[in-house]
Amino acid sequence: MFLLNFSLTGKLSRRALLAAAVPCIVAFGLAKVGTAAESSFRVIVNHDNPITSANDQLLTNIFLKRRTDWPDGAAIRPVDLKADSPTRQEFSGTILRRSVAAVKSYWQQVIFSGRGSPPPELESDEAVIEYVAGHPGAIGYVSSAASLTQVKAITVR
Amino acid sequence: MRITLRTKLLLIAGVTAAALLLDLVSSGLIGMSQARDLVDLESRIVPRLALAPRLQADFGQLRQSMQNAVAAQDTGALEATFARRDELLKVISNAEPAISKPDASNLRFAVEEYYSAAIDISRRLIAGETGEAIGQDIEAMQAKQTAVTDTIQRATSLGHNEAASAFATVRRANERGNLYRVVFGATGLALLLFLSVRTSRGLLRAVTDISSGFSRFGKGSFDKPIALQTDDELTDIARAANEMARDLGELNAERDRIEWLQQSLVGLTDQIRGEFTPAEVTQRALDYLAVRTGALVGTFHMVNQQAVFSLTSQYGLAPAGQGEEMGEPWASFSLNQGLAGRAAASSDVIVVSDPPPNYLRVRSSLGAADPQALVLVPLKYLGKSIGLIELALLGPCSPQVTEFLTSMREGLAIALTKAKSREVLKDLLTQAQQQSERLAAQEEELRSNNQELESQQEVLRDANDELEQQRKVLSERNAELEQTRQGLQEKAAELSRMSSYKSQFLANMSHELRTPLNSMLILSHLLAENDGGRLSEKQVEHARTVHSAGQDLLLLINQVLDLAKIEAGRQEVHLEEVDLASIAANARRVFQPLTNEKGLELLVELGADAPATIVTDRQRLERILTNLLGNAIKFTSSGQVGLRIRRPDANVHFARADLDPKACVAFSVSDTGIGIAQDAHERVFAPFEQVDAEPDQRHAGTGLGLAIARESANLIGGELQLSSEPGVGSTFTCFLPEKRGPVSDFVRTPKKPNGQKPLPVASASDLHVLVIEDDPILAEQLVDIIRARSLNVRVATSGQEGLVAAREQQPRGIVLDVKLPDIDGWTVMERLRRDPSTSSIPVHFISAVDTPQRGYALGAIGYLTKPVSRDELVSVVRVLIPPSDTHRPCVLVVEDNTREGLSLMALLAKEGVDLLHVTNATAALAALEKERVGCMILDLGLPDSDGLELLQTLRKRTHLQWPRVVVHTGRALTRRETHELETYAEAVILKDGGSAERLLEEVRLFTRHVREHLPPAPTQKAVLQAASEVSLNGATILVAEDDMRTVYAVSALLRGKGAEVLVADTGVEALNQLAKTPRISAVLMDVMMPEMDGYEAMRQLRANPKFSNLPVIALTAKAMKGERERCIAAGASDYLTKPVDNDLLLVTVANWLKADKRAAT
Repeated sequence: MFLLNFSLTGKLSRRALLAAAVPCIVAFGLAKVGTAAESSFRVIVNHDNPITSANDQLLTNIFLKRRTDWPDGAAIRPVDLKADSPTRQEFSGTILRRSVAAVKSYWQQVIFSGRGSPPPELESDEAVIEYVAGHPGAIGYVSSAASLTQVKAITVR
Repeated sequence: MRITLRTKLLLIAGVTAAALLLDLVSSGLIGMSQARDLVDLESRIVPRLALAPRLQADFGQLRQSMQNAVAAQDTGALEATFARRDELLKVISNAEPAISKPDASNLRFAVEEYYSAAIDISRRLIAGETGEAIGQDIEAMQAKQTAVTDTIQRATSLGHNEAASAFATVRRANERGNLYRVVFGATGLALLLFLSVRTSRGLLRAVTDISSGFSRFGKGSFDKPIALQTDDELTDIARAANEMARDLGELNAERDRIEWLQQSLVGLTDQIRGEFTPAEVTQRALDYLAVRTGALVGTFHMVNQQAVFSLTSQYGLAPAGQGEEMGEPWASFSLNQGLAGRAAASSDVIVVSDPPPNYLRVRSSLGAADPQALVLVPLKYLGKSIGLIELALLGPCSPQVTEFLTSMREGLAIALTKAKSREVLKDLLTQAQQQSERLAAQEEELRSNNQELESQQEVLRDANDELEQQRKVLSERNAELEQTRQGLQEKAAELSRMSSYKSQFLANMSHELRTPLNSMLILSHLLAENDGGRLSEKQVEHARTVHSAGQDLLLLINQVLDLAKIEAGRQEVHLEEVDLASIAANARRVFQPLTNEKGLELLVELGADAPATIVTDRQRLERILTNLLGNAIKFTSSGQVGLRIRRPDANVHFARADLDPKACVAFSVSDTGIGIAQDAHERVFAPFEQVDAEPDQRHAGTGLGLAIARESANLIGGELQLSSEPGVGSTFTCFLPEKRGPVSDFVRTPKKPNGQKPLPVASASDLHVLVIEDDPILAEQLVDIIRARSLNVRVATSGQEGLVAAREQQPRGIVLDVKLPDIDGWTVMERLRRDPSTSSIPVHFISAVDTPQRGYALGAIGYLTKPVSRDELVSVVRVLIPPSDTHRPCVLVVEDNTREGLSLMALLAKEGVDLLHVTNATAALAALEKERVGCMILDLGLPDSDGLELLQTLRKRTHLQWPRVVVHTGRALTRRETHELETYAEAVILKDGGSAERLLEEVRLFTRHVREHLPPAPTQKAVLQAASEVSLNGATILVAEDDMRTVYAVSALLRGKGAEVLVADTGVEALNQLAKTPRISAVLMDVMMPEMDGYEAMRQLRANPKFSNLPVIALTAKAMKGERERCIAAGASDYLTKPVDNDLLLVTVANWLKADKRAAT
């Protein structure tokens, strides 16, 4: 509905566009808060990383390696859990909005067209935490049950 | 030397072709060398340009196949990618020499490098390896991929110098070719130009010469030909043009000649056209000819009627005497006389050239000369010479002139002849004009006459207008009259409505009067009989007085009712043939005693001019005469009373328009009584009026007689008139038409005489008919009629004699009068019935007493009220002695209306015959086939067929016995229909008030015949017992009647005969009583009762099957038309009118009780 509005109002004045968009954005934000509270994973970064929150668009860009640098210029090193991990599946569904298989397929295409390599997949939450703690530009996700003392969890908006 | 144009043109074309050929050859050579350079360029460079995308695509496919294998997790598929790699390598090897050898080997190496890395990565990915190590290896592999693509790029890119040198070679070759072409082209063009200029200059000169020559010729100058300079095709053209110019010049001269001739002819025609006299024509023609031909002298001779040519005109002749040597022209000559005469006879123009000198000198005032030529022109019209023209010319006569003179002759001759005819015509015209003037004068005279006529017509029109005006006034008056008439009509309608109210009132009143009167009569009769013997003689006398006063009152009421009926238009007219002699005889018989009593003289006179019979209603006529005679006797104290029957005077005036003195009979009743004043003439006819206002005992009466007489006369189409003088006497005259058409709602069809049918042979006795009658006239008539049918007859003049004769001779039928000298007819009837030997002899009453019910109650088969017509007497005989073949034991009722059929059945049920009822013609025919039908009562309107058709069908079925047919129809019949029906039917009865009795009568005739042939029933005698013999012992009779007086009277009567009587005063009560008391054997039912009337009570009673055979006798005071039918339809077994005749009541009740008993056993 929002998209439809957007395309229809494309030719309208900018003020009208904003007036229409604002309530929608607010509504989306509220909905997201609800899901974050229930979600069973946490997104984590290195303690030295200054960011505290990220939206799912940003996270998608990072995990599909479309965005490669943090704002300070450091390289982003995303790390995935194994494909059969429920946390991976949930992350993939809610944040990337793709199934894990679709993500795999995406990476195969990228590999053979020579545009890059997928993030490493680690066995467990602990491995991910260790990896993130060991690499300053790293970003990953673990199940909400995992202990997060070595890394920093950021808010997903 | 002749160089033709063709040669020149071919030379130019050859030079041009040579130049073009040279140019083509050089261009071809140059093009070939350029093509070689370009082929080299194409084979070396183009493949290399195409190679890069091919290699890139193949490399992409190799990567894609590996990716697909990884995605499918298929190691087999991955191994298959080796083939693709080899293929790629082969392609690279085949690309030489498009790419250089070193480039190709570099590329092969790079591909192999990449492939070994990629296959390793793929295997690891399929194995599921993830993590950082593989990530790095992937990046290394991707670097190798980049090396491959770069190598492809480098190997397929073209060296700059190489391309530049190739293109330069091509450009140089092209430039050389261009130079050759320019050189050859320029040389060719120059040569061509030179040749063209030379040739065109020569051509141009010749053409100019020719064109100037043509333009000269065009202007008409043919003398200078075109100069011929060269010798070629153009010279030929010039030569031909010169020849043409010569021919044209000659043609022109010829045309000029003809034109001159034409102009001359036209000029001459112009000169002589118009209305000229012959002399003028000749002069003008001569003048013109002279001028035109150049003649100096000319003459014109014209032939006259004597065929002599005389000089009519001349031209240029010198005056006489001026030339002595010159002869005068001939004034006249004949045909063939001299040269002129010869020329005139000739048919050609004669030219005399060079006449001898001194033949003629042509002079002018200046001098004279000899003419060189003479021309003689004869004129002929229709082969006849009519003139000669002679011309003298100074020069020679040119052929042109001769031709002209020859050609103009005919036209001139015609003109001349025409001029002559015109002269004749002119004379005629003058004559005609004179006649026309005379005609105009006559016309003027006519016109004045016409004007006179018109003025007369005007006068007539005025008169007409006046008439129209008067007509308008008249039509307005007419309209006014019409309005007045309408007003009058409305008033008349209102009056008649009021009158009918009045009549209705009277009818109701008389009904109300009759009811109490009824009881009075019954009771007084009972009292007078003094059965208990308790009354003194005096008291019996009083009772008789009461009874007779009651009878008088009843008569009065009946009269009032009668009048009311007439006025209400309910009276029926019964038309029949009436014998005037019998009318007269009757009058005398009835009134002789009265006049005798008063000491008056009665004169009855039947005029010799009166017809023997008239068609009218006999009863009405008798009533009128009775009233008039009664009045006359009443108001006459001394002198005489007379009845005269005769033709009316021709000058008598009628109020009715349909009366004609010649077709009328006048019945005048005159007296020598007190007379009536003129002003009272109208008044006496009003009801309840008498001439004396004061009550006068002598003239006591109702005053209704005259009113009834007048109304009756009106009813039967007649008129009643009065002439009277007080103190001298009065004369009432009734005028009746001789013949009266069927105007009322009742048409009585005379019964069909059966005279033709074979008569039955008397079997039991020789005596057929016994007539018991003291009136010798009637007896004689009857005897005549009976003897005419070959039947034996005996007349008995007294009752006693009749009884004896009946017993001894056993007649087949008896005609019985009521008033007999010794014992009355009723007694005779009773005695006949009591005697077993005579009880079954049919008896027919003929009586002056009008109580047919009593007659029928005593068992009569017919009842006629005197006076009777001859036809009626015939029918009496027929009834008594019926044709033998009509006795059939069954009566068939053919009636489509079920209700009507049922009521007919009810009506006929008590006649003791078998009845059949069918509703259509088909069923009727079936019944006729199956049953022995002796009598058929037939309705004409049937759903499937017409009654008449049914009869016709029946007639065709000869094997069937022809039944007695009684047509009973509600349809108004035309004369033709009636006539046709009469050939089949015994009687035609219209459905109306009187039809039930008529029908009953007809059926009784039939049943009588049936009974005759049945063994006499043991109860029959009892049924026919007289009232005095009636015993009602053991019978229980319910009297339903609300009027207590009647209840009392009837109860007393019935109890007197031993019956038990129950009383109910309403219909409901009657039904209750019936339900309660099963022993009730008969019901007397008054139709007018409170709560539930008699009709309804009867209907409900009949609805109960238990009472379907219970005798119910309806009592009604309504002596109105249709009442009987209503009662029968409601379920009554019989019907009696109030006041009830005691005897009749008893007989009827007894009769029904017997019938019931018989039905029960």
